[in-house]
Amino acid sequence: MPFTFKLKKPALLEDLEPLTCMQVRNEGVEYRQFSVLDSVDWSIWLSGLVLINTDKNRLELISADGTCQASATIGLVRGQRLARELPEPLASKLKQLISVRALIPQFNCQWREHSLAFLNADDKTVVRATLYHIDDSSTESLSLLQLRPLRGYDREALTIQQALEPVAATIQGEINLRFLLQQCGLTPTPVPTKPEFQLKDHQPTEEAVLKMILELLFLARRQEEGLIADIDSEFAHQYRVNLRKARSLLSLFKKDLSPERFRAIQLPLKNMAKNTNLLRDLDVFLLDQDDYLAMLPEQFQSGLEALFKRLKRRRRQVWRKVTAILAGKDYREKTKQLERLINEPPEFSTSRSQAPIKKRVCRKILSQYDKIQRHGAHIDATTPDEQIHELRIEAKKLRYLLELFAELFSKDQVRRLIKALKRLQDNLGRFNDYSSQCLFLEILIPGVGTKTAERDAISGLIAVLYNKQKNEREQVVDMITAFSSAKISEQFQKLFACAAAKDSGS
Amino acid sequence: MKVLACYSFKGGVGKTAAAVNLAYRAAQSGYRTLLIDLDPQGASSFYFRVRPDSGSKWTKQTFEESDVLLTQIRESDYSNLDLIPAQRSLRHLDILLKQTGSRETVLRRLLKKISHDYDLILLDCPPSISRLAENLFIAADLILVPVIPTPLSERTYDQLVQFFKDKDYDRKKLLPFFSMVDARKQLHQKTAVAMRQRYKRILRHAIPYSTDVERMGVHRAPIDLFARGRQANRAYLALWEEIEQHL
Repeated sequence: MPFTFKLKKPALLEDLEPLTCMQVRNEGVEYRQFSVLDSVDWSIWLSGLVLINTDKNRLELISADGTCQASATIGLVRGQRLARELPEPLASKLKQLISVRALIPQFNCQWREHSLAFLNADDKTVVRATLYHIDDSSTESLSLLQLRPLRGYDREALTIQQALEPVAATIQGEINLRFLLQQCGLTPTPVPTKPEFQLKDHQPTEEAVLKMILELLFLARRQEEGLIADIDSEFAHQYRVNLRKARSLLSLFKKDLSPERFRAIQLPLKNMAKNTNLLRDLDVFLLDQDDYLAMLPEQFQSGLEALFKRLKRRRRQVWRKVTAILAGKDYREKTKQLERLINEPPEFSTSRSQAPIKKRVCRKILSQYDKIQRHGAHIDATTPDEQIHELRIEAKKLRYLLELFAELFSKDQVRRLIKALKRLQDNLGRFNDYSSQCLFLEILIPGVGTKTAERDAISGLIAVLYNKQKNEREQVVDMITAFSSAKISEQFQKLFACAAAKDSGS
Repeated sequence: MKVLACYSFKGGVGKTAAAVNLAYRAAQSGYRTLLIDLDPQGASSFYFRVRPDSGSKWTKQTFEESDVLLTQIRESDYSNLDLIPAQRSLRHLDILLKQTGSRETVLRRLLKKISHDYDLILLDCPPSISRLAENLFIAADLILVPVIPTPLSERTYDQLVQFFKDKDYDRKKLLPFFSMVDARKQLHQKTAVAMRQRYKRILRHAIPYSTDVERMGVHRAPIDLFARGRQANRAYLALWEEIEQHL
């Protein structure tokens, strides 16, 4: 077990000899200089790992115990990098941690590491030590010392520890990369991605819903900077997800607002989302390019590559357009106006708008579940696709209700229901994705400048996706049946029926 | 875990120098190695600058509780290499072994208890045929025997082989190698040739007579540390690589 100290004032090698009355041998010094890379939400750091870009142009993924899990020589990372652009096995490991988020240089640091040996009277090494000097302009200079007694020499280490007591404070644990980075001033504070509304059970519905919409709008708007900087596709995605949640909430509680206020909020939110529709379609397609490449045989690959190249250019144009909108005066003014409008006090124009939020939510959830059960009961192998899409939208609304209002209920129980719903949603989501991807590709076929090889690749993809969509379609009925089962239904009743009935007279 | 004993019942044949340099080489090759200095003269311990704790000694308890022996382990200055230093009480080890009333397997059982930390245990043995030696012959997987190619050393080795025959020990454990060879001496050459004809297991690589080996006492370190490019150092490396094939 090593002994670790923080020295009260920066110490040099020469200071240690008179303090410990032992000969101290310098066994080398190493300058460590690197930048820490992570996604904008610090996913790597939060999972207990650290990704560093060393001054030798190596990317190293370091685990808590200091071992390198994967590495690659790639050159200095200045801008952002996606995991998929890196060599294996680093790419796969990072993909598990950051998914489609980009890596960005988050923190730069440097320190010196002196390797020392404390010798006894026989000139035998009894304790090895590392003296760390952190002398960064951003932090106060700091010296840390870690002693590692050789086996059988704990007594000597104890003597050194006692000798250092007047000038050093003992630190619990071992000095590792994470600890050193924290000493250098790294304190990642990830911005919460999930909203926390701090709702109260009896809060009037209109007040609660408006507060939630405002918070969701705020979360969406927080993505604008990353979207404009084009760090990764997640910014646009999260921008849209938060807007979609806000819109869904608005439509679910439509009757709790005055019609004027509803319309005044609904339209700007719709327009905000619309601005990024095409950008997201292109992002989704480009994110899946590895999967698409794997779907088609060798002879179609060049056509696909050409298609991706073209779509990347197209995406660039679309992104510029979106950026111009988001950075524009008109957008800024309209969103500010929207925020002001949502922030205005509740009107309480209907009796429902004053009802306690928890009760309203319970009723909403039960009626939404009921709606899915009813719609689902009419779906069979011959039902037109449009009805499946409608069911998907209803399922999504239920998901948002469960997720957004989860804080009002037992988290575990809500989580169980979300899990059950997710199975249905995944199936419906894939079904929808395949069909919208087919539509997206069909539009590309007659496009100007589309070459024969590209057309062949697109046709090939449509055929594969169509088959996949058919496979998903075959599972829809089973999934609906599972979600409408007596067991799930009972869980919904158990969790929400009681609260929905409570104070029914109010 | 393998146990290698460095043994000769004739003194001054380069046994300790071999134990020290081979232990160092094994550690450098990645074997987690423990060198146990069983020779009360403590030359191996001296070369590695390791002293025993004052007061610690081999007692009956040492053989009964492995923890007692574990506390005597000292990490050397070199990675993968630990040492149990010699101590004066080892002079009475033979009597102690007799007192334990146990048979020749007591050392083997003791080493087994500490084996989980190591890939290789190397024993630097005192020059004698005694109860300890008999224990070593049972405990070791291989017994390295340094032999100076002279008639007297040859005779000593013959006696050892005869002892193995008489006691019905496994003679395949014996791995003799020529030590302190002076290539200029006709006697060394002739004896070596004759012995190689009689004993096929004599290792191909030999250790030359060298002042570098003697200087280990000055430097108190394995020869590689201060005479890297020299012939004797190369010879120990070659010898180790040959021994490694027998492990």
